[in-house]
Amino acid sequence: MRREDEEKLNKYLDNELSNEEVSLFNNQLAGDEELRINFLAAKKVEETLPGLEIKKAPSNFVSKLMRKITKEVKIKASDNTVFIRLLAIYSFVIVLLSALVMWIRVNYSEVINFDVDNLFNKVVNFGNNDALQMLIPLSIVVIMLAANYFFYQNHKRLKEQIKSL
Amino acid sequence: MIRLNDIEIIDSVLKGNVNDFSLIVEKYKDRAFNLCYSILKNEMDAEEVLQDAFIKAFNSLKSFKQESKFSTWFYRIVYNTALSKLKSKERKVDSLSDSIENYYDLEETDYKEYEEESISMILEKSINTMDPKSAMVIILYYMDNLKINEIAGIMGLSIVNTKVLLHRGRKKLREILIKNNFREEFL
Repeated sequence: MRREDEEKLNKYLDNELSNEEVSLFNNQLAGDEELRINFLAAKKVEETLPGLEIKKAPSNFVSKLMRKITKEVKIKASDNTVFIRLLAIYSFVIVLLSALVMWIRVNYSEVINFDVDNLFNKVVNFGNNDALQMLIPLSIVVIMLAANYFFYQNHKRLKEQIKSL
Repeated sequence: MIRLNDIEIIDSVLKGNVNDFSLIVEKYKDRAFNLCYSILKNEMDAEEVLQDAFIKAFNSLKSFKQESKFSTWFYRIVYNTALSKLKSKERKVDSLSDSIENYYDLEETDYKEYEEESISMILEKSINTMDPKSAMVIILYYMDNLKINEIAGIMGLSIVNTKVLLHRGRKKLREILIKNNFREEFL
């Protein structure tokens, strides 16, 4: 079939011909057997396709999928809980240790040979202000914990975005 | 029983009613499975891809902007997931064919095998042997009743390219009917 006839046939099927073009096309159909056969075959295709039976998903598909999704939701929730619990325990231990060091420093620094001042001075060279010496490492710990948490959340979000691509 | 629309179901799922997602699955599973099958030509692969697509949709429900229809958004996920699977399969058959278009080319099909079959069966088989993109356009246009611009949106193509695929698919199906002794029926 000629290319222009092919185009005309498609325009006809897509309802893109004007009334005048449709009547011209009908005249052409009457005198051109090849075009008529193609036109009728195309019409047959158009009529048959909407009624074709579709391939259906297996009957247990919904239950299988929902089991998977529910499991995934539970795992995600437990992942989060485990992380938050670990974070809480970690923070508690750090605070406890700091309090213990502080207490030892106040009460036993002269009795036992435990030079806490030097240790802190090496980490943060901040003179002899006791409160500041404790405050700075504690703040660093808190900032690190918060940064860890946000880093973890961003990592999770990024993973989900990559997965959804 | 109250029938919820897609948006209402999605809102409910986002509020934490995970089980309501099954309403969406029930509604779209067969149409989407048909699309996966038209691309992958294999039931097991189609099921696997469909599961992945639903899980991806579930995980990205928050990012679904209600500017477009849910079906369009979801079919796009299905299409992309199926194409990724097809590409990984294509790598395996790469040594046998130059491209996926050649791999599914109907020109090589033996039309004689269709002789005793009805037009519906012939068309069904022909779609299953068509190149995946043309098959997808034909199914979305004729069986899912979508408009060209919606199909273009799903497949990430321009409207012109989508029309080209539609016309190419139509032509192939028409030629199969003509070559397959249905000529007399049309005269």
